[in-house]
Amino acid sequence: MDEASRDLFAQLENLEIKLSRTKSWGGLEAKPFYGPADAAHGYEGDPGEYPYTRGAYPKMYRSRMWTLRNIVGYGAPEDTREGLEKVLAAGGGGVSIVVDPLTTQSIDPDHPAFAPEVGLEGCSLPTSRDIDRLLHGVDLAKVDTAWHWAAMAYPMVAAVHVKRGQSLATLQGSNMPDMLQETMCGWGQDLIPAALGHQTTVDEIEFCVKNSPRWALGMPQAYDLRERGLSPAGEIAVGMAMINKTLEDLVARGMTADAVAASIAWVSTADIDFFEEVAKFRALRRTWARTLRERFGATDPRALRLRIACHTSGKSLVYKQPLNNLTRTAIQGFAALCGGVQSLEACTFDEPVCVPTHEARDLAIRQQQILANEVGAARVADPFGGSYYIEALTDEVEAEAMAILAKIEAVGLIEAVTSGMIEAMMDAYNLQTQRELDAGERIVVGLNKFVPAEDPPPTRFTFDPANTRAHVRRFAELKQQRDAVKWRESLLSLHRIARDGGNPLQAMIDAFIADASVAEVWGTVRVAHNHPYDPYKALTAPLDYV
Amino acid sequence: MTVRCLLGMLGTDVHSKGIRTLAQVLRDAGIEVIYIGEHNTVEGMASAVVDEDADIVGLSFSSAAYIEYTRQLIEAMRGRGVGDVPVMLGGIIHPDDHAKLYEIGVAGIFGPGSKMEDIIAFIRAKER
Repeated sequence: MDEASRDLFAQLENLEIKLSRTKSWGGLEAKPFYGPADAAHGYEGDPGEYPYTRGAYPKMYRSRMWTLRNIVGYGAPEDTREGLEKVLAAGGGGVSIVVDPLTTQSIDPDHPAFAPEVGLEGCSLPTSRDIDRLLHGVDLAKVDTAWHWAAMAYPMVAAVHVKRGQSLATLQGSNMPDMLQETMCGWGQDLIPAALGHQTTVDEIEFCVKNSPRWALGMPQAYDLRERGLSPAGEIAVGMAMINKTLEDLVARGMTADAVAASIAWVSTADIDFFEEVAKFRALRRTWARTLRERFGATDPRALRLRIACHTSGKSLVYKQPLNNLTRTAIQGFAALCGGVQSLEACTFDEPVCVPTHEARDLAIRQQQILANEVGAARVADPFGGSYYIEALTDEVEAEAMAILAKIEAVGLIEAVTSGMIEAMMDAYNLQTQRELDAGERIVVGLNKFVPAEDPPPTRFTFDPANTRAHVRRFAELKQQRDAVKWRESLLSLHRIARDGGNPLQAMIDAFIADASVAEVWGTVRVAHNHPYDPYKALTAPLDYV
Repeated sequence: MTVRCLLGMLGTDVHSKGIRTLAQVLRDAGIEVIYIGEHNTVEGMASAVVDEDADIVGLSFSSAAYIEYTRQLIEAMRGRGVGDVPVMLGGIIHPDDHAKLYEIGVAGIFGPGSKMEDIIAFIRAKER
């Protein structure tokens, strides 16, 4: 036996598969097995019946298949249009658009500090004309567009629809109006002051429910909160704290939970712990139904049954040996489907590396086709219902969520955000996770163990920035060419309404129709609430609001 | 004398989970951390390096704009007479860019999968 061969056999112990953890990924300790005594509560009802633990619909995927979504967004509107067409050609069903961080933060592409970032990690869409370019020829009354973008998405898309001569009532699609999660997820209170963020969300939900009933609202945007540093139980707790506060404020404006909740879908994630995620989706639907009925008096099944949109966890994916991420996303997606979600976006395997390559996006679509057609993920509603372990874990996730929610509501949601209480909670969770990784109590393949000695640099998505440069020039030209009187009047009107405490959504739509940019519209709302026009304080407002 | 390590992020990047955790791990290891958070401009961060008398600067990027921002920061630091303060980078840094980053003056790169202990050792080596 030569030396190399001897070494290999000496390492045999290290090569074996071992049990490295008995806690769930979210930190819940587990017993070696579960039995009837662990899932003691009686049968709660079939899928499609209150409290909807077993699913939102009686026949689940037999009656409504989940929507396969794939996110696209890079460069100028013309670039993202090309990417969307590739996805549709490969069999992707939903049109799901990601905007660049500048647009997301309502910063225009000519901001002096951020030129290197324009269009780099999403599509740059500073005006409604850009959205029109991206979706030219696409009938927004017939095609469902999903926007990974907070409050500004709706008024901008609505402006395009109205300019095309159609009514708000026929507008289809969805966005994620949750601004408060942004405050908590690294944006901070300079970018999104907590009270203004929350109020804007409430304004948008009120306006959409009344005027665009076919527009769906992704609320809470719990995906980012999980990615930032919450367990599955923490997701339910912080998410429900936001739902409770939002519904309370809408009820105070004279709306009913029945009218509002039917337009809402929860934006969730599936991390790598299969069982815990299945239990979370079940516990989430039950918590939602009970809260809506008992706290808000809802009776309409469309309000009581929660619809869930799931995007698999990006932070769970590993940079090294990135093809392993296909294994991870397959299991995460399967967990989401066993948990009964209504739409599923799988991260591409190269998510930790860059904006998705076309090949990686193609494989993400194939993965869901395999789940749908080969694995049997669509066959039976709530396939884990009655499993001793899953039933016990569902109860445990819910109990932990309720304990965290009680702590948040004891101080009040806005105070819990502004005082840094929730941020501290997430910091503690992340530090604990890091300590477990450092100590080997939590093993992630390719991250802190089984790291490949040689790993070729991963392929990066690249695209020609020529369109982006032309797009920035075109934006500067529009600012010169637009009707200055209409533009100014629209922003003055928006300022007046926002300052006087009215719902500013119609005025936002009007300003986008008058070719105001995303920074000008949001900046005007900020000024009306006594915040600096530019959160980065490099620019002053382009008009005085008198 | 303990090393003073200034940590922060440039641009619109909101992915500060990693650098916040790093800040706590470094503090627990006895390193003095000045955490200036997200959303700094190049000029603002270069001023902070001077004002805080930092011995080392740590940046984290999730955005692919890291080469341009890092180049701008190192130039701005040189312009303020603190070009000798080492700059280390963490986050999603692609191996193909390492040579370029060292060329523009980056002292250390801690990309995906880097160990906390290696970052601590790198900073300790800069003690004055």
